[in-house]
Amino acid sequence: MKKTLAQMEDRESSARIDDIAALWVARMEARPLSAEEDSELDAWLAADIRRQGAFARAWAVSLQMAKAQALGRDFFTDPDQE
Amino acid sequence: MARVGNERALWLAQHILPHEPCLRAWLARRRVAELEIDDIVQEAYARLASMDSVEGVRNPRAYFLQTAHSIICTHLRRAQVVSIRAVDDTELSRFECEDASPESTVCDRDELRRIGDIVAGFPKQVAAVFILRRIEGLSQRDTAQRLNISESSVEKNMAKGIRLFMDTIALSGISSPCASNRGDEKNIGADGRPRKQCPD
Repeated sequence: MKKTLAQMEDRESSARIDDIAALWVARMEARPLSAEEDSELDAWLAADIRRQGAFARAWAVSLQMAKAQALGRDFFTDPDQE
Repeated sequence: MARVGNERALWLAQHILPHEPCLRAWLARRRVAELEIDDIVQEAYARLASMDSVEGVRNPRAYFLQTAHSIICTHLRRAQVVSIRAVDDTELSRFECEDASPESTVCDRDELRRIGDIVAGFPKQVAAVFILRRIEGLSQRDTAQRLNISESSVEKNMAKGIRLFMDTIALSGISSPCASNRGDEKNIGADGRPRKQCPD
């Protein structure tokens, strides 16, 4: 079955997927998801394998970023004081 | 479909993320018109995230490349395009990328500093939120109070930070010497050929 142009344009961009994946990861790290959010995330993930990958990648990235804690406060000039 | 767990996310962070620039460079060389590199990368992460076990993965970089290769083959087969040539393991582990050995061997200190530099380069508000949450270890609520913004704004800024970091990793990686060697002259292989496959 040939895809129509409209269907091709409808294909969610990987950048858009990354946006949403990052939001989910930030939310999960801030607090436990509500039951409703939990099923919303499941449904979102199930719809496209790329979303599952983006979510896993976003999570890995967040863990990687968290390592910065070892640098300590002194590494960063205070953005408030600039 | 199972959601990726924390343990696997850690494994990905440690063993796969550092090789992402390498994978992207490799994909760019064997570019297949119908497929976007970003799509292949996302799908490769999905496959690695959903594996029952990663214990058997000795050479994460080669495995990452092999996974991407298999994804390309699957898509091409589906699209009934002529198959691309098979790739053997030797080729995958030999693929040179100036970054690290197959074992992700990264100087921890350099990696940390690079992470810190990336964070420091974030937009002001994003960096401020990240520093309070992750460096000072404040809760979302306390961070919101300190910066006089809403909790949902804290969450959005954290997401923005993750998102920016994702792009940075795609472009230049976090930890490879590859990422720190900015001069183009350095990208010459031992054989004297330009090492274009590993752009900065």
